[in-house]
Amino acid sequence: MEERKIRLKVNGKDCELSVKPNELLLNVLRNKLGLTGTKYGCGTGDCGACTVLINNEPRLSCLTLAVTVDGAEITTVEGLATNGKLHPIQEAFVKHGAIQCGFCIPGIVIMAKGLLDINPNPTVEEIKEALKGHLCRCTGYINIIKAIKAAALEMSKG
Amino acid sequence: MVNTRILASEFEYFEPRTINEAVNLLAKYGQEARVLAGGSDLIVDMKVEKVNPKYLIYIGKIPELRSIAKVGNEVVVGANATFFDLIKSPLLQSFPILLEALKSIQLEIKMMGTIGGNICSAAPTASTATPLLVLNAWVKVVSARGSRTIPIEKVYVGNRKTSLAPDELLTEIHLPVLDSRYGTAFGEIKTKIKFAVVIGRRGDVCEHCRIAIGGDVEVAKRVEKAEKLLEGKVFNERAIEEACDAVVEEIDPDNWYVREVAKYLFPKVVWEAWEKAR
Ligand SMILES: Cc1cc2nc3c(=O)[nH]c(=O)nc-3n(C[C@H](O)[C@H](O)[C@H](O)COP(=O)(O)OP(=O)(O)OC[C@H]3O[C@@H](n4cnc5c(N)ncnc54)[C@H](O)[C@@H]3O)c2cc1C
Ligand code: FES
Ligand code: FES
Repeated sequence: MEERKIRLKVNGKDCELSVKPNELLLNVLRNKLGLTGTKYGCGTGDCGACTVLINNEPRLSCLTLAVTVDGAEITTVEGLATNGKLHPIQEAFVKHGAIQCGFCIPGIVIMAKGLLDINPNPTVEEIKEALKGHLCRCTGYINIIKAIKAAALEMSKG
Repeated sequence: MVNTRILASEFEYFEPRTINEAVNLLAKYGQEARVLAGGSDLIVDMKVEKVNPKYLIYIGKIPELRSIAKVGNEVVVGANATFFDLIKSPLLQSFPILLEALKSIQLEIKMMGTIGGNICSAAPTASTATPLLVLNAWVKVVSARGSRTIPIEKVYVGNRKTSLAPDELLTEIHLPVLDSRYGTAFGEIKTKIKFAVVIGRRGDVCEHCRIAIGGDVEVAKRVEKAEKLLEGKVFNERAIEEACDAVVEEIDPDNWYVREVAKYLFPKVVWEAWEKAR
């Protein structure tokens, strides 16, 4: 298959890449750009571990062909911290013990960022609803919900 | 076991910028080509080797396919509008039944999935199927041979089968604005059972009724038998029970669980539509 040139802005950095049409955004991020924060869990849309922001929208990178996002801005979990300081969502996850093995967390943190951009003050019900595409084998979700709620509060203080 | 970490299949990729370009590609490659919209169904199907197209025609770069506009007494939605486009569109707020049905879709799929992909996948569980059926929606499909319109109930011809030819592109979904006196309701229990209902009333009488069933059935469809049992009748428990029996007949007799939950859900949804009707 013929490779195509695409341009992406990943975590604020411009990059030009050559990709085959069947290459998944997930693998371009992990293998070509070394951004291994984004995880492969199921590959079929069921677990949410591969969630990234594409033009600020949370989407599944395991079902996205890299060629289709030519020109887009991508944010992965590596892009949330600024100047070595964790993003308030990340802070809240640490503070509330919302992380155990951590495998599901990059996807959930990125989803939470996307959610809070659309809905800065979600109810617990709305947070649960948004978590339905994310599987976590460890935490039981309770502390994740608390962390997202706390992050929303923190971020609303500006 | 397939490796879902990668997409193993190989294909030629196209990125048409206009509907015309897209349908010309479809005319050329028809049977061996697939339209790629959000990919939330197609990429999964390709990974698990359910389909193996030689040509992939990505329609996400055709701006006109994503527009939502009011034209006369209809709202016209471009096939490539995402679920989230619909949810945030002011024009769609007059179709609460459709928005209600989109609520249970997970966030990432609201961003990726398109209404056109949802229709063309033709899953009986599809979130948009039952509301579109009771809204009397119709679609426009275009090919290099010309264009035609199809009422939505004629689109779904079987489980994951549509009446579109391989060279046809779904371009528009037309939603006629409902009579404001009509009451509408949607109810679902996971992907097991889904009902959408539209009711027009005059006093105690049900004047007009549209019922659609989806979920664990062969194909999402209107249940005309149940509609006839309610239309022109005084709306009461007995009439609903008769209609409910007709609705349950649509479910496989061996599917005991779904039949039971349907008996619970259906009356709730019809009552809700009735109470909203003026
Ligand atoms: C994790 C997950 C959760 C999901 N949850 C739901 C849910 O809650 N409710 C629900 O209904 N669905 C759900 N789906 C299924 C899927 O997201 C939807 O059916 C979605 O609407 C498909 O749209 P798409 O744009 O992604 O289609 P694609 O996958 O791009 O295409 C689907 C099919 O339609 C064809 N097609 C697409 N557009 C056109 C067109 N304009 N003309 C002709 N053919 C076309 C394609 O060739 C393909 O065969 C889910 C899927 C996943 C992976
Ligand atoms: S790896 Fe993408 S959803 Fe599981
Ligand atoms: S913390 Fe281990 S899977 Fe979520």
